[in-house]
Amino acid sequence: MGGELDLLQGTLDLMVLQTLATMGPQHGYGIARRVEQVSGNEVLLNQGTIHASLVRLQQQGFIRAEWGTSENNRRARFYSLTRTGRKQLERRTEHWERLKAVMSRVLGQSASGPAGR
Amino acid sequence: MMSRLRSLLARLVSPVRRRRLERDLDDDLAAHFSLLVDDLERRGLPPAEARRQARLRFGSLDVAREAHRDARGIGWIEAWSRDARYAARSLRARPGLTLVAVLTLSLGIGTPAAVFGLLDRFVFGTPDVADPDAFVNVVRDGRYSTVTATLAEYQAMSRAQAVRELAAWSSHKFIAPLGADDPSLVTGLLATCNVFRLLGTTTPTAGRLFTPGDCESPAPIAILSERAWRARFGGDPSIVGASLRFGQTPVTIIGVVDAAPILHQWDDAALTPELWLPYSAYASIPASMRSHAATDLLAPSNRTRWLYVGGLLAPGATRAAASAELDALDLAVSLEPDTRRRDPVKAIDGSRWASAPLDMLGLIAMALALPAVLLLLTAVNVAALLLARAAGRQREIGVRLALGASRSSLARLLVAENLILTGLAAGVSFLLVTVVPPLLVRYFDAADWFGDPASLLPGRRVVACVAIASVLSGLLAGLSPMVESLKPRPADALNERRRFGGPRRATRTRRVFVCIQIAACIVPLVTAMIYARAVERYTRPSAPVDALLVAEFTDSRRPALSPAEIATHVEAMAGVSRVALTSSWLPLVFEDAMRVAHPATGAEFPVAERQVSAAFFDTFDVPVVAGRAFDPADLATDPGAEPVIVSEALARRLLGDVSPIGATLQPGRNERLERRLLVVGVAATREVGHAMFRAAGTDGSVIYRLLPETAATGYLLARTRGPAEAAAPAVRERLRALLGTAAQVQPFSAYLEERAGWIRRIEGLFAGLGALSLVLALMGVAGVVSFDALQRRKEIAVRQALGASPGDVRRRIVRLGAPALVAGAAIGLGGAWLLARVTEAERILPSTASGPDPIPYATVGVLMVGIGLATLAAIAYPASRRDPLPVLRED
Repeated sequence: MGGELDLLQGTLDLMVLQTLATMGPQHGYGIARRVEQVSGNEVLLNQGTIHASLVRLQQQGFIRAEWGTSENNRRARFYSLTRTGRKQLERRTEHWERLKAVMSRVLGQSASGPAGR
Repeated sequence: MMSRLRSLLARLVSPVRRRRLERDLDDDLAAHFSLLVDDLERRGLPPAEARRQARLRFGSLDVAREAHRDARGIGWIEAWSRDARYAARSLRARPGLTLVAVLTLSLGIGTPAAVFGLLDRFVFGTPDVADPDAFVNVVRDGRYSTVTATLAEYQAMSRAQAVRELAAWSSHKFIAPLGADDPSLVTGLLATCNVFRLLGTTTPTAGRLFTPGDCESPAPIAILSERAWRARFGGDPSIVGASLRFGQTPVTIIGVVDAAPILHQWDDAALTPELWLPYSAYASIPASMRSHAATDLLAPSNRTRWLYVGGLLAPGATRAAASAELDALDLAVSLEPDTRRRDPVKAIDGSRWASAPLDMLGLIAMALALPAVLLLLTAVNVAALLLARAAGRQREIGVRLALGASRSSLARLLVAENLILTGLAAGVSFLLVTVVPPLLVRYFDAADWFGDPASLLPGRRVVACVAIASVLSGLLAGLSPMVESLKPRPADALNERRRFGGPRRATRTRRVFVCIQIAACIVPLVTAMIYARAVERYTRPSAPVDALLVAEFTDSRRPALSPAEIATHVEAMAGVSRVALTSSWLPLVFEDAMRVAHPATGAEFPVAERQVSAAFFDTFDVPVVAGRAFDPADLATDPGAEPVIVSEALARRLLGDVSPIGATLQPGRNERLERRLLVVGVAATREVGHAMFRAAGTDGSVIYRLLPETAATGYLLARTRGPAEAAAPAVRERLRALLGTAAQVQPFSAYLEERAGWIRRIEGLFAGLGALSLVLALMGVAGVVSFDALQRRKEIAVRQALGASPGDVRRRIVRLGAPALVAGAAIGLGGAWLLARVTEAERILPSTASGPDPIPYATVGVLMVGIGLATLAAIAYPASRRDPLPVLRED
């Protein structure tokens, strides 16, 4: 196996929303670190990817940004979830759960199919 | 849904907030970088190593910025706005070239748009009434020129529910002097008494407007137009109530009105009658002044249509509903037994377009032909400029292509440049469109045709025209330079080994440009010269007219003296040698026309027709070259044939070399002439003026008929012993004594000058266009040829190094440009010839008896080729003197 995972379209945005829901307001670097940690370093995020996701979510009104001071006393933008963002997270989580269930059913059936014969 | 909308809005405004967003991102990236460095230091890395590792993990900042840009904005908007900024900078870097290109394009776009600005008003303009949206013109057969109704038909249609204020006015204009002191003529119109409500005039300037009762009494009352009131009576309020003679009819002026002009015929100017009379006054107008002397137009049995009809739509009614209702009402009283032959009536908006769309399309095409040529010329000119610039940029483009820019993104950049140039030009053109049409209306004194010049503001059709012309010239000017720019392969461009576009192909493009430019400037120049010579010919006809005096006579004069008797009295004066009478169509000034059938083929064709007295040929100095002149005995009615004299040109056209004397001609079927025409004489061919029918008399074909003694209106022509002007006062006095009222007496040359005025103005317009296109063409040719010479400098240098003399080099350069020059001249002369045929056939150009005039073509052709060759020589000379060595060392 090895190597990092290719993210499906839309999954990064969901990870960002979930991270902010769990950890509260966080700067971009912190969000990226947290996603990498939680994924056991299966997902490695470069700056371009995380900032593109942040600006997208911000434009959709799911997160908001405020300037603050980081732990090393640097000016950084802190992102937090908005109310629509929280609703969006619920909706997307539910959607993802359903997708997950369908996928595992489909994949489970295919595993006990030709392979089992 | 909301979040999508929000996102779209944010993306749309992101280019505007670009600077702030980029700054925020940079700050953010810097903060993250330092956080990463701190992290790495905390894990025990020394500061320098931590920074190195952080840089490695962080990746390219440019990639991060690009991803951010893509995520926050709309890709193509961002890309275009970037290109537009770059293009604007590169245009600012060469202000001279940009200015020339913008001004040239503006001329190309502005000229057709300005002409269209006038056409828009002429073709689509509706009458200037108070409520133009509700206004309808009721027409028959779809046209104004077909008179709409009899009185009975009008009265039937007035019952329509869909139309209110249905009014009618006479198609015949009653023209006569008003009052005893002023001999000039005024135009009177008969109308129904609600006509002013239709036109939206509710209050008179003085006195009163018509009341319904006025149209029931035959008492001749009249309302004076405000313009005539001020011009003829100095705005004297006591005119209201005064009794004046309008021709022979005594009329009482009841009021003064400032009413909107009405469109009489689609191919005529709008009409503001000087005198309005109730239609019932027709009964008091003498038979000689009526259009249909034998018919009583007011009688219920009358079948001759004589009224134009207009009305206002009732609230909520449409023109289609009004058409249906009016037609049904008209059908009920129709006197035409065969309903299939009946022309239905229709309510239209009152524009010329609604009346005669095909004619209007033809007019638009004709009027826009020359401006379109100018658009082509300017676009080609700018294309040549941009082409030269594209050649200068091939290195830059090569570098960009080598660095991985796609050709489509480069094309976008070039399109952005072109759009900026065209956009600026469109802006300037819009100014031209606002300013030029009113100036032209004033220059041509054509407010009757186009309305008040101050109100000629560009409407949406004109804006659309500017847009279309801009897109066209942008495409024409930008496409070829763009294609040429994108051609180089990076390696070639960087090595400069290959000329851009390939030498042969680029040269061919440039030759086509030279050809088009020369051709396009020849057309207006030749046309201007044809017009100039027409004015010359027109005001100085081959027979001398300096000693000719013209007096207008109408039936308002004392009926005791017939025109023939008056002529005898004037001829007896010391300063006068000969006097003739003509009908109300003065030869050379405006010709009547009739159709005759060709004796061999039977095909009918129009010829100019002059009704003259026997003395005309002596007086007007037209020699009778065969047969005889008219004889007073010719007036005796011969039931079989009417004696006529034909011009030599007509005789040749009809019978070739056979003598026409004694031949009989068949008048056209619609000519209302019962008798055949017996040719008794042949007169010399002379110039023919503007004739009533298109194509009549272009070759000098004239048919002369003898003016009947009963003719009550027309002109008296007197040949004087000295200059006409000197004899004018005496003749005027004599006529006053004979007639008892003042008569209008003027030298014949004054009439010709007045008629030549409009040709002079058209000539001025063409001369202006010609001069403009000459300057443009010379600029373009010089630019193209000198660019060509520059491109070939290496070839020339090699030739020089191999022993070519300066003379050889000069000949080579001239030979390169000359074929395009000659071909352009040939195409231009052909185009000018075609345009001249069209203007002659459309009667825009006065005809010549001698066929096409070769001098303008020869003069302009030789002049253009000469100027072109001189330009080539001027470019060839320095090129042939250049030292070849530095050029050869360029690589």
